[in-house]
Amino acid sequence: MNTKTDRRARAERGGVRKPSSRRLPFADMAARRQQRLVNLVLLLLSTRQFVTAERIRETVEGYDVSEDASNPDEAFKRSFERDKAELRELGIPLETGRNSAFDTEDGYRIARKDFELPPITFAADEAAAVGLAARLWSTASLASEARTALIKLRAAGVEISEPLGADSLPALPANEPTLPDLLAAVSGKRVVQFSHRKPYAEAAERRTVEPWGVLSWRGRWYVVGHDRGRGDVRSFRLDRISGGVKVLAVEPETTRPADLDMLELVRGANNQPGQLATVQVTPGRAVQLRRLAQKVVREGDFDVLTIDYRDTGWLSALIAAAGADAVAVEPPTLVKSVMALLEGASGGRK
Amino acid sequence: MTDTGDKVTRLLALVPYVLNRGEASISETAKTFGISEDQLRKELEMLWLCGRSSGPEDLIDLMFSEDSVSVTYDGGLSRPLKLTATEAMTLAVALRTLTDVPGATQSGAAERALAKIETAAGQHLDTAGVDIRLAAQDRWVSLAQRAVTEKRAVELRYYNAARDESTHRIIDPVQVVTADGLTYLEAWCRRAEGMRIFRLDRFEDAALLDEPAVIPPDVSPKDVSGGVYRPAPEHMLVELSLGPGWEWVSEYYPCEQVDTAEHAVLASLRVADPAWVSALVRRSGGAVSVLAPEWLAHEVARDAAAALAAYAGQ
Repeated sequence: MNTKTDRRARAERGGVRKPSSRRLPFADMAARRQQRLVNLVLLLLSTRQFVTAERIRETVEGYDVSEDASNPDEAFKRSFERDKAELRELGIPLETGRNSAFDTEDGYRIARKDFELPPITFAADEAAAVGLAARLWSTASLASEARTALIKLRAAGVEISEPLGADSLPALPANEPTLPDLLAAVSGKRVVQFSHRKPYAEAAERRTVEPWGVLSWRGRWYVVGHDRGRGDVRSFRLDRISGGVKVLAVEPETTRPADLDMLELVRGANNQPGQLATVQVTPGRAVQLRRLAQKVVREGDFDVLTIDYRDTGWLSALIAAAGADAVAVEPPTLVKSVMALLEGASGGRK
Repeated sequence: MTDTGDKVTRLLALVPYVLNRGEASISETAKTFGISEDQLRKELEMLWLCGRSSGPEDLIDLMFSEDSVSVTYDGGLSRPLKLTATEAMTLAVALRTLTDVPGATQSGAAERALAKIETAAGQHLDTAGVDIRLAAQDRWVSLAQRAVTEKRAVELRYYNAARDESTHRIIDPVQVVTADGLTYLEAWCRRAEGMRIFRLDRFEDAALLDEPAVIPPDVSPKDVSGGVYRPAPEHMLVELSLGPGWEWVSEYYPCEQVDTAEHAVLASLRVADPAWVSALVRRSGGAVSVLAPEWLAHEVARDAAAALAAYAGQ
């Protein structure tokens, strides 16, 4: 089939209002490849038969011109392999197989049910929620996935308008290049390897991790999982991971515990073991101290707080600020420190 | 996703998008897809030359008019591509996060949308592997915004930092303002019977009420261009001595006058609540002291002595 003649014939066909320019600049390689990929999809989607590579080469516009004229077969093979990989990346699954026992090589096709978005409709408030959800990612590294997801839903006929009050919506913390890969590893239950630099450490260390989840907290992303090298749970800040994330072809040995509290783990990772203070407070008062408390027990007319702390000066200032509503009970160093502050404030010390 | 991938996804979506609308406006379509009108025309022209073969009967057929486009033959592309696992996860995770943002969506909308995304993706989406903790002020901004737009009263549990206590009140919201990186809700407070400004990160709990916000006619929204905590003339003028390590107070709070003395900075500032001064002096252990008014200096010393009394015998 002489494809070029047909194209020309089409472009010259009357009756249809034509676009301003009907031929792509020949030099636009990227555009040609995109067009070729669309053609390939259309061909493989149109048939329930498996289509051989040879037939694809003949039929699909874009494989017929080869820059590497010395070895056109080799050039086609390379282009075709690249295209197959690209389609897989886009989530378009190519099936391979033979139409009959007499076929000598595998052919390809795309099953419509694996390709097409099933019918989907949203009520107005649901569509608004989807629009708002996509906005959450507007500055983060998954912005392009959120955008293409919206494009597909809109192409399916869903009306998603720009959400009201979008300017007030918090965007998730910014760009972490490894986030998409780690997220994929979490949902695909894969084992990964990456280089991570500990705080104050000079060099990065190679870690092999079974990621259980990712956490966004206080403007940062963390990945939490089983560190194979350490044989224990660890959390890693994504902005301390350098280079890419490599997926290993091994089975994970662990699964995410049902009660995993990633925030607790990440918080804990930043804490040094402290000591416990006992503070007696008036019910309903000293809210700031209450918020710090790990335990609150009612005893008579008071609430007794247990607070994990490291800095005596800091905690005693908070207790002194609460005035008569808080009394330090334990340990003695803390009690002394609070008393010194109150003496100073009452004018007992100049 | 690669540039090529992004573009091919868009090309494959354009035909069903136009098809679904019968006739699609060029400018609206370009806006929806986030590209320029020129780029859109270029891509439509590309599609016009695509087909399962190059036979004219197989090529996608589009009809262009001045500012719109329609599909005459879809070439087999009647539906968009299904969502990739990552795309579905991206939306699912964000939707689940929204369920934790009071007032962000109509009740249950995010949950229902999430269920539909799961159905469309053809699989259960394991969102438990992603935990997004929004900052306190981000959690409440949607509710605050909605209360203002819909003119509804809000029941609020609020942390009063000056008094270090949790308060409960009904407020009638006026506006949401942002200043110095913090977001505030300005509202008529029925308890205080006055205009108050509430920091969203100090909301402990809030609920939109069905009753309308009623704002007395003679109050006007605050001008926050000069910062939120602008001292008001009706507030008490207090003179503080800021000892070593506490000079920052004069920079942190707007002062009417700041002088430097030996071993201390002397600052005059307007204060809404004497309890705040008292707590500051205790916290500093006397490094901050009250020079004027005298009655406040006595009151502050008395407060500290009362607190100290609890340790009698130690």
